[in-house]
Amino acid sequence: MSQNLRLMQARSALSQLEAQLGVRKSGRHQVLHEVGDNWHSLFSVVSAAMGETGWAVFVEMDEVCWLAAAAAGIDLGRVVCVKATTESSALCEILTSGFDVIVFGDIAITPAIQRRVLARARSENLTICTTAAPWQQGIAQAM
Amino acid sequence: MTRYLVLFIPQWDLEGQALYPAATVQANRISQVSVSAAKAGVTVGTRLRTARHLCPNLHLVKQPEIAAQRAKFSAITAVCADIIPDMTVWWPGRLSVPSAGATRYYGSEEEVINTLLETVSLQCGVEAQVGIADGILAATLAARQGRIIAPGAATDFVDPLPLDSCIDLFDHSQRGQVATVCTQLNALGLVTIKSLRALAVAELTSRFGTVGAILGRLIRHDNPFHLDAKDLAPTQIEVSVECHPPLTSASQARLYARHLGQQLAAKLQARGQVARRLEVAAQTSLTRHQRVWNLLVGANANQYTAYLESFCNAIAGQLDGAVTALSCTGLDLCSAAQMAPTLWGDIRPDTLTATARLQQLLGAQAVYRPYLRDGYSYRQRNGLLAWGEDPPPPAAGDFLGQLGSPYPSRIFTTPRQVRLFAECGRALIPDENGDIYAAPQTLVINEGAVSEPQHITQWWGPWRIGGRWWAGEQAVSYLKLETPRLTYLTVWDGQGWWLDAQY
Repeated sequence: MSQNLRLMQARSALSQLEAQLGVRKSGRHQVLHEVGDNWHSLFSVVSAAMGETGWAVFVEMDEVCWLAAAAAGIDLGRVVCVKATTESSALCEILTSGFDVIVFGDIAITPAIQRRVLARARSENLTICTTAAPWQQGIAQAM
Repeated sequence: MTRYLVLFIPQWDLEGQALYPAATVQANRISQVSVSAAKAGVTVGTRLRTARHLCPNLHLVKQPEIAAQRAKFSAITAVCADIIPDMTVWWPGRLSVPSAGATRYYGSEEEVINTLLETVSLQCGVEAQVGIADGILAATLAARQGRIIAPGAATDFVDPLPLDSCIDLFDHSQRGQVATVCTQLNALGLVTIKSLRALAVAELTSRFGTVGAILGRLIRHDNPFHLDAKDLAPTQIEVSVECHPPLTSASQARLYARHLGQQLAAKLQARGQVARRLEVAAQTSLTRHQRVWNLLVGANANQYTAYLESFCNAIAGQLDGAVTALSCTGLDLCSAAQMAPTLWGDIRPDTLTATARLQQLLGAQAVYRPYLRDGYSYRQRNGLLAWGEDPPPPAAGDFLGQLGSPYPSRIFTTPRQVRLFAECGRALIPDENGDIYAAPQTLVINEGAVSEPQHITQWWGPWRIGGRWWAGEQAVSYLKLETPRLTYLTVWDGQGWWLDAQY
């Protein structure tokens, strides 16, 4: 048996075990949600992605009505808001290292950082939501 | 274990006030009560106002009277000094002494007590109470009952007693504070002295400060006035090393870093504490370089070493000479138990670390968390707090008539002015009661120079809130409007219509 084949078998067994134990959600996970102006659907997505233990961070989202967010099922005790007018790779690295759901509001993010955030989100099973400028179509389709 | 003799004259400051309920006051709280006042429900630590409510004829002993009474206690101490030299006067009305010497001299503990009581009674005309037991706490409580507690039986004697019994061992100025601590401990389910003994002195100290440290030592029959420095929470722990020969490269410094990191971790572990900030410093012959990190999650030896190593690498290019000393200081120490995760509801370590890093990157006020508060409008009910701050107490009032669900999803930070027109083409302006005379037909949003009219397909309201003229409030009317594009919440503030929120 080749080394690659053994590696694939081990990965398969591990992923099955993770899904079985609930460590990782089974099935295809949608990483990027571009919700635009429909913030009620944003709340639904965030609430579902947070689950019972997840944490969410809202970046540059000053206009959220937290009453509506709480009514949609978001536990405000597990929400952090950040005011950051300019993006940076350090900021995105911190966000992806500590939160399960990241909502980007009115903040411009360069395509290079978008790619890095999405790659990290895919590997860590994170959920990314955007409300302002749509992220690159190519990246969105790749998800 | 040292055996103590405690002589106790109850209510010394209130001696001579037996005819009516009397009390002394310290910082607006009752510090001593006479028996008749205690029967009316007045206790030590009670607020003066509450005490007066409980006992309207309560006599408050004035400071000159107290001072005169305290001066009289010198006569008692002079008499006692002949029998029990080297005594310690706690305050007028109580003194203590290690009983071993007097017991040897008089032959037995009973004989010491009899001699002391008889002498004080005959020469001063005062009835005192004396007790002997292991430790100050047991001896003081035994003195209240006039008992001798056999050696080794002090724990059994004090264990079933309530925590409030310890209040009497503190100075009058501290009693209010101790009473508050006891109330908090009772609320936590620690009612008796036995239950408190299960907690380590370090835990009590980190939570309740000096009062906690003294309580912890008292219930272990130690002398609370001989507090070791380690019992009082230190603010920092430093480990340092002198470098011989002085270090000239980062790789040399890294060798010391591991040693320092392990030393700091061992010191903290021995105390059962964790550091929430870490300061690392390197001393050259000319300057001192230093850096501080926030450690919101308790770090271990490897992490301390990693911080030191990264510091050594960072300053390698800035050094103006060889490094002669390296130091590593744990700051803002707290009990490790405080930082230990509980079963539910704790913040994940990675999230905690991420928020701390965000605050370092963007500033403390750039990271905040939402919370809900009371109010009439949606805007009032949305609260934001800087990360790490506690929410303010809820506002008073029943908030009848507050705007209910469904809630808008977005509240505009800067409301935009709009115009509303009725079907007849006239501008829609509410009357003084906030009512509108016709159905709104067109919404015109002012977008700079461009004004785009939107047809209103459905509307709800108006809802009028505020208007308490005696509180200086202005009434506002809310109107929910549905257009083919979006649904908006508009508000009339008496001057014009504003786009307040979006559904």
